[in-house]
Amino acid sequence: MSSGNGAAMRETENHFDVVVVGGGIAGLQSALDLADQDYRVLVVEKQPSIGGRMISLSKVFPTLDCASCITTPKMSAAAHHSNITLMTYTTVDAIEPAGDNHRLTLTQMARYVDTSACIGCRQCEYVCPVEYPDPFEQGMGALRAISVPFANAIPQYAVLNPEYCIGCGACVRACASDAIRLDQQPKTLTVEAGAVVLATGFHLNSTSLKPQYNASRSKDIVSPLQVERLLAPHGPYGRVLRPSDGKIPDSVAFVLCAGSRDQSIGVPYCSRVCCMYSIKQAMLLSGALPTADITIYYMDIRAFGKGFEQFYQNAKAMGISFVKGKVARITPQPNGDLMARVEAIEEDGRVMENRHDLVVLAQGIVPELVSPERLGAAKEEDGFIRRPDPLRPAWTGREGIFVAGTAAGPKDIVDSIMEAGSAAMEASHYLTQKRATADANAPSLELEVIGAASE
Amino acid sequence: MGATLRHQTVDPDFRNALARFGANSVINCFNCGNCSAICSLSKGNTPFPRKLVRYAQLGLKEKLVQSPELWLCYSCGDCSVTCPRGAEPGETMAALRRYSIASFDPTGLTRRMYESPAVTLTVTLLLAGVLAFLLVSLGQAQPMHGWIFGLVPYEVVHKVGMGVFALLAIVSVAGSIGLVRNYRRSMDGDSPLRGLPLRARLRVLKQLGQEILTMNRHAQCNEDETPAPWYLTPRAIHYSVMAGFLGLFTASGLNFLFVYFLGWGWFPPARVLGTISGLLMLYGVSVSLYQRYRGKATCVTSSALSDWWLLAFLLVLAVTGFWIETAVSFGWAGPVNDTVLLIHTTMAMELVLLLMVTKLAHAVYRPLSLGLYFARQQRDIYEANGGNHD
Repeated sequence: MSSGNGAAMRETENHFDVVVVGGGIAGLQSALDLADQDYRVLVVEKQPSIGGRMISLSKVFPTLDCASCITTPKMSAAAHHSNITLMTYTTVDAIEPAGDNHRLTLTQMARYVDTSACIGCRQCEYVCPVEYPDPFEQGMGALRAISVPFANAIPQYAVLNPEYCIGCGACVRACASDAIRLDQQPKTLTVEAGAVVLATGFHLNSTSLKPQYNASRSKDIVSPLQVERLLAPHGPYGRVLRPSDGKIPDSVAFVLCAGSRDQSIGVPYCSRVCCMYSIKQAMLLSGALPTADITIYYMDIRAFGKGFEQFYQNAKAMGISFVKGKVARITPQPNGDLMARVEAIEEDGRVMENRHDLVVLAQGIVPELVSPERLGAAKEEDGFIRRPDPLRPAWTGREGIFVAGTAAGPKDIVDSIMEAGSAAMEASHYLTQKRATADANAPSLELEVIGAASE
Repeated sequence: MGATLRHQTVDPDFRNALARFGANSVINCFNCGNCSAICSLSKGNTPFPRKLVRYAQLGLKEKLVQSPELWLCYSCGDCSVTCPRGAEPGETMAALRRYSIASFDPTGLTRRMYESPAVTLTVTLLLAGVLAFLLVSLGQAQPMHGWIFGLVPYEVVHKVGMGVFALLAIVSVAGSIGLVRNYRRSMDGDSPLRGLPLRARLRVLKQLGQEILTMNRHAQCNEDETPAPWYLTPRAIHYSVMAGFLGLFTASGLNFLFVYFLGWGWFPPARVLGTISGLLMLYGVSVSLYQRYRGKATCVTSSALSDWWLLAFLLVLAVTGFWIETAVSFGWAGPVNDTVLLIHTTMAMELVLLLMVTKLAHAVYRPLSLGLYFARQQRDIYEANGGNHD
């Protein structure tokens, strides 16, 4: 590898060869692939820690490997890479062309902690008297108003949540390194980048989109990300309990296509991963709750990837029941039971009302980035980032701006990582070409010297 | 349910035929079953609408017209609103009801009326012409009386009239018999009532009567919507139209009996009943028309000509009815009032004559199907209890 590959483009402190927007698994993979080629990369992450959605998952399908065992080393590698700069708790407000490069306007949100002083000792967290529903645990556990976001967060800096802070000053007094700044303000800064990789990811649409599911009326109608936390070894309860009353669920239902493949809520496309993660969660649940009845209500099982169909067949063999039919209504009962109404399509077509303790709604995957136009890209009809050239699936159609992972459409982790590699390759290729053009146009000092010598 | 499978021809082009009855999205359905499960009325062994949408996709016409489920639906629209594919199962149900009405008419007149607005208009006007002619010619006091019989012999007029009446009577009887025969055929010629003890039979009658008088099943519809004020609920509007219709029908009958046959000056109960029923009808029909016009009704996503036709008829009947009542009460006379009376009588007769050909046929088909549905329920209970009722 040529050691000077990216060096020529290093001009100032705020110039990077590539800026990766999003520090999830796709963004980190792109950043690592580029940094290993000696490009200087900035990773901008909105959350206080990198790791994205994947760091909160329990296991991955269809191999049932531990998700955080794959993600944590990637996070760590990115954090310790000499060519990678991390900016967490920072949003990208705009990306505009600036000559040959792109100018990014960033806002660094106030952590109320001086990151140059914080050593992540958590003394502040221990003395903080306020707790609020832990966002990392999907609202199920409790987090102190000032705390390190989660156990394996990177970087390990505390963040103060001003919504819950009562300003008692306990943390300020407890901090050994005087790192707490209650008067910190958000900071706007600009950086320049030779190329940009958008890896802005996804979020799940609301469980309340379908009022027929009554998610607002029961805490036991949960999102799949909540189940990931329930199943994670370091999850909020340390075991699988239902959130409302701590009962060990005896009957768990998965409702597939609860937020996608549904024109009535404006998400007509398939979210591609729900079938498989629901099967995975069902398998893990049947391990955690060996006597529980587990039902998956589906319209079609889309097991299209390598090893997926076998995974599905294994789940059936394990005794997980698969019932064909879209659940039309979930009605919470006064005693906490949840009744799911569904047509027995594969039987006599009668309408069944089945009782469950816990219902998981497979919500739809929707883009996290609402207006890609601000970041120099365009969006498809479905809201995801547009990729006009089918032969270049990581290219947004805009000079030097690439896309990776679920920002371009729903996909699983394997596909996200592949696309991240592809985006890194595209960015690398783009930068090399740009440099070659710049070199060709610039007067060559070397040639002149040789010419002078031969004279 | 002992229905054996019979050979049936699959007809994939049926959905094109159905499109002419107002179902355009049958092909969108991917059979997820959401519609049947969201429907508050789809219960036990009568699941709908998905089953019927599936029949429609496959073109199983025989199965379709044998399905009482078509008439158990109050068209609340829950299924269409929540359909993940925009397949509009509610619209498909409505179109299938129209198809069903048409298929029971052996003359093919109904089918042509549904398929073409021009035919509907022609039939309506032609029949109105014939009826008006008959009315004018029969009224002894009418000045036109002598003039008409000068042109056309009384015998011809009489026979034409009787012919029209006979034809439409045949259509009506054929429709009812067709439905019942279809249901019997779907049950292998068995009657749902056979073997049921008298008490269970009475219970069927009671349930049917209750449902007709209260429309309680209708109240179960639209579970998820913020309830409209009670006087604007689809049930209240439908109820006021139906009650108005039945009330006016009864009042007219009483009036005819007491005033025309028995020669009373006037019959107060009929007048009171008629006035109240007329007000109900006027209210229900106006709100219904307004909601359809504005596309506001929760229960309606689109309206076919047959919907407008019936509502327009009822509206004109209600308005002219009140006009006549006022005229009679104040002793008005004159050619304008005579014309209004002529219009009212013509349209009323037309409505009754076209009973089985128009949307109004549901007034016959729905109670029949509900009766079958309740009978099957009673039978299931009876059989589940090993022949011991209760």
